[in-house]
Amino acid sequence: MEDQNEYLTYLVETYGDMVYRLALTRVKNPHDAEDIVQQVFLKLVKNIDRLESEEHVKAWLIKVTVNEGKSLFSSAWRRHTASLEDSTEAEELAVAPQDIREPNDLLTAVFRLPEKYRIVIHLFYYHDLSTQEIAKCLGRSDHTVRSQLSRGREKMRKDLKEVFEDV
Amino acid sequence: MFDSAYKEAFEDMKLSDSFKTGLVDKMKNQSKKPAPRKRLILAVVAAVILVSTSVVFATNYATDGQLFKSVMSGFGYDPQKTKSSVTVDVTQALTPAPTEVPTGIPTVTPTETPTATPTEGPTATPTENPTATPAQTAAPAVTAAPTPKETAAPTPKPTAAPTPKETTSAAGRIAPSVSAAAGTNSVTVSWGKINSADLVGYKVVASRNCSTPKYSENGYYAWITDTNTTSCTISSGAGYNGGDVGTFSGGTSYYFSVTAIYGDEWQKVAGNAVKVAMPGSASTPAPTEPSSTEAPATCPAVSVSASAGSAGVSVSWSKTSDPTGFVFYKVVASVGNSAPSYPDDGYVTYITDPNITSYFIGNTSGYNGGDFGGAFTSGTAYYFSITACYDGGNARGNAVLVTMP
Repeated sequence: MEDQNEYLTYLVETYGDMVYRLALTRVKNPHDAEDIVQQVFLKLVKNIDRLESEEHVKAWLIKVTVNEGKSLFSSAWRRHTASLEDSTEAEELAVAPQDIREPNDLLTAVFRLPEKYRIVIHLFYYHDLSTQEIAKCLGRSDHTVRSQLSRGREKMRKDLKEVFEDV
Repeated sequence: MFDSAYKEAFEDMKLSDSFKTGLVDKMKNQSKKPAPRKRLILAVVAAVILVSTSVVFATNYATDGQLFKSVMSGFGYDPQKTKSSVTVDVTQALTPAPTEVPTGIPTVTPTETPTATPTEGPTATPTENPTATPAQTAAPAVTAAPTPKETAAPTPKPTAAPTPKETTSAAGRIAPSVSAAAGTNSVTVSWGKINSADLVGYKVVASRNCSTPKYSENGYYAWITDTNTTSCTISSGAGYNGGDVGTFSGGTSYYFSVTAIYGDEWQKVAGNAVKVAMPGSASTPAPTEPSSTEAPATCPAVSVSASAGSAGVSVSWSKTSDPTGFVFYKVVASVGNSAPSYPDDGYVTYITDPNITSYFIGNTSGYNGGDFGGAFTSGTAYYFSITACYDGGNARGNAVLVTMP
């Protein structure tokens, strides 16, 4: 039991922030992102026996986080359509100084992207996944992922005004 | 360039510690299963199959019994000797089988609990003879076994054809014989080498108050998976994981011990404990090893420890003693340089919170720069260290050589 607890702590310590950042990319709101993290890890406990290796755990977490984000995003969207103030509040949260510090402009550019590009950009640059892996993860075609990636980059390049030449 | 800028941009977005703790608690509540999950499932499956087949065989036995005899002979069952009911026979025939099924299901084989019993036994051993000789067998398990006729160490029945691994595990799971001696500014803990095929590693443990410290109750200082290693030096000022030590401070006495970890089920066999005072004065707990020439007094180095864990290496360090001007900790590693530092040897990651003092590196993690091609490889030994970076300069910590599992 002790080992199990240690392992759970280890999983949260190792992957908690990774899942959180991915969730945040998706929902742009720290509270919703925390909700996602919690749901994802509680699911992980249930499925832990089926995950053979560390690599499986990581891949599983990415996939489930993306899907979890999807369902939560839609319910959050439904909530927010009821009141227009709420949705602008979520936008503000995404760039609130206590959550996001330097380099601010890059994050702002990321969060300004439409959701479908944002998630592709994040998986590509943060998780170093290939476009094929991203395609598999999101259930989109490789071609779609590639064009979303290049459009996302294009939008960010404009936003960042050539701060990063190699985007 | 964009890759790293992107990752850095996200670096500050973290879950709070309180959130993580709460989450772990929730996960604990949800998981009811013990640690060696796969084995338990195997055990359940095996038990179910055996019980259900026994019912089939019972029917078969009642008719002509040929199939039953032929199959059960594979379990060491002798049809000549058994005239009583079939259910009893099956239970007897099962006895050698738990070599495959360590956590026997109580309803089927109520007396077989090889995983649980030996753990309790040896823990008491170090109290009685602190200078014990290496050959401490795990035999005390017999006392914990509910029925005396059952041998706690499952001596395999001839026909059961047990794997050789199991034979050595029963015989070779001994407690480490530990000694400890104070050096100039450190304590070196040594133990007798254990030659056992299923030895996983040694946990070096210490406690301020508990005279029989053991893993996991008392935390641990180092997790050594190189089974040929027989000593570990703990510097004054070094940090400790869990337990009641905190940071080893000079002038304080500690009980040092080593817990051997065996088998997939992580059976823990504690060695004897030795009480030694950590040299040095309590007022200056600064370690000598991590001294760095280029760091002025305001840029203290940290004391580093590293140990192999589940599919990776866990690096821990002491918190910087002076966070003034602190920028970040850089986690560094090298194959060839026994004293790696940032920026010369690249880095795995950097940590901007001075209060974070550990980092886990998975065995497939990437590496920025360095001398080993941008990614860790399982089975390779690396020198792990922490470079503490301040406005005024960088301070290289000591390096620890650990083989990436």
